[in-house]
Amino acid sequence: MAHSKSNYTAAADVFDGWKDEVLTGSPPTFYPIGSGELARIEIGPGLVTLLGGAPGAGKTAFVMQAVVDALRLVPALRALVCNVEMPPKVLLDRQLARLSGIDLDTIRYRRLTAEHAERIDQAMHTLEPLTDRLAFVRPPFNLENVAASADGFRADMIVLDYLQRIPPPGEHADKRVAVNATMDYLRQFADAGVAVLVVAAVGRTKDNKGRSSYSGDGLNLASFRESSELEFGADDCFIAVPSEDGGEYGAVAVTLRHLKARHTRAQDLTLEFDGRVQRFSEAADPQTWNPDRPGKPPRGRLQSALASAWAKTPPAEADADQGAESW
Amino acid sequence: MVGEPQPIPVGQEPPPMHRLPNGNGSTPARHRGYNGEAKGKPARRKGDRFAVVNAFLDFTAGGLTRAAALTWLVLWRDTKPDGTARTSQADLARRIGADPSTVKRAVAALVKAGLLAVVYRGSLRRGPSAYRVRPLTREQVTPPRSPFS
Repeated sequence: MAHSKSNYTAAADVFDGWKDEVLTGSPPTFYPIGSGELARIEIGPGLVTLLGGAPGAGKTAFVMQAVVDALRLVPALRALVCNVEMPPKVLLDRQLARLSGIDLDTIRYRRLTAEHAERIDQAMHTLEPLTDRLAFVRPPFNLENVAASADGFRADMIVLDYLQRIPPPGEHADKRVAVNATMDYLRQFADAGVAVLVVAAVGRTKDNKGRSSYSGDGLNLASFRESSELEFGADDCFIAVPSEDGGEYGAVAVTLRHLKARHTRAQDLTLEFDGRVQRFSEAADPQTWNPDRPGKPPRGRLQSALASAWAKTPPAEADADQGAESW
Repeated sequence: MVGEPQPIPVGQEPPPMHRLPNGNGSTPARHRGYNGEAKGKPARRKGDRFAVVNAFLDFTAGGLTRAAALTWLVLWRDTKPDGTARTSQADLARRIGADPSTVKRAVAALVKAGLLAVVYRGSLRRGPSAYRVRPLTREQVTPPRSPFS
């Protein structure tokens, strides 16, 4: 009978390195993906962050914003994106829309005119310096290829969009076992020192009226499709839940429900998602959030009174527009 | 370099065009706050403008053909406060007294040298191209690499 080889790490071996880290005050590395609410999301080496949500909730928009903004904020960061549904040019179209503020439709159908020139120019100048540090996995979309690509590109961050469509190596009895195995591998990727950001599909659940739906009321940790291993393997789990009423401009409030936080206290985030430009931004106070004026912080009583006083005052003659030609 | 657009800092992306007060997605004539309140006249950066033409005339123009130098100057003259110039090649040809084909070659040479960036490519249906002028060539901006680096 074959004896299995023992495989452990003695605490004594770990202790010295750990003690140094504690006593020198070296904090863990995190890759920031924004400011305000977004800064609370911990993405970094050794961490697996899982994001789920119903179709159309903005999962891909969110992770791509997170990756691009992390690249903008961390000059040495390198990221690898494995998106099984969208080719790189489509993902870049979306980032161009977000950075320029021009509707995605206008960009997608290449209906740009001279009035867009300045915004496009500036957004291109923002994206272009990142291109050396961002790569996209080409088919086949499986974990072996992702691992080889991440090694080849020397990626610090890996994005998988979405998990249930990226099979692990080997034969597996069913989908559930395959997803379990995928999560095991992702845990190993993280332990090797990369940040892993995973998008996962969720299944329909019963809402409060007993109907099968993607309603936010019913979404929880058990909603991740195929496997409970996803929730155990991840360090942080979020589910994006859009509000049902949108504003005049199509922006909606999206709550990122923080369902699991291995290292911190779980705290939901309220963001605003403008689908026309594929942009998540910090929402105003969720209690007073107004979909028609998203992103605008609520004013105090005195500020509102002052603002309305200014609004009633006609502009001075000297403020009138002058022709742009008169240099 | 003067006039070169800078990368947008995180969190300072421009507001969506469809939310701007004029609603049609065009750049407003005046600087406005998020809620559409006028914030006064836009700052005129004439100093930048003269720095551009001074650098061009002092360091660059001498190495260009007459047509290329004049084309650059006309586009600099036509540059709007947003930093871009929209002048048709036919108009350029008329104003510098050259053939349209000469202007076409001059524009291509300026683009190749890094003195002109095409920020919007025009056509018969889309109207004239939009350009951004730059005063120095790529070689002048990027110092030669040391053989020891």
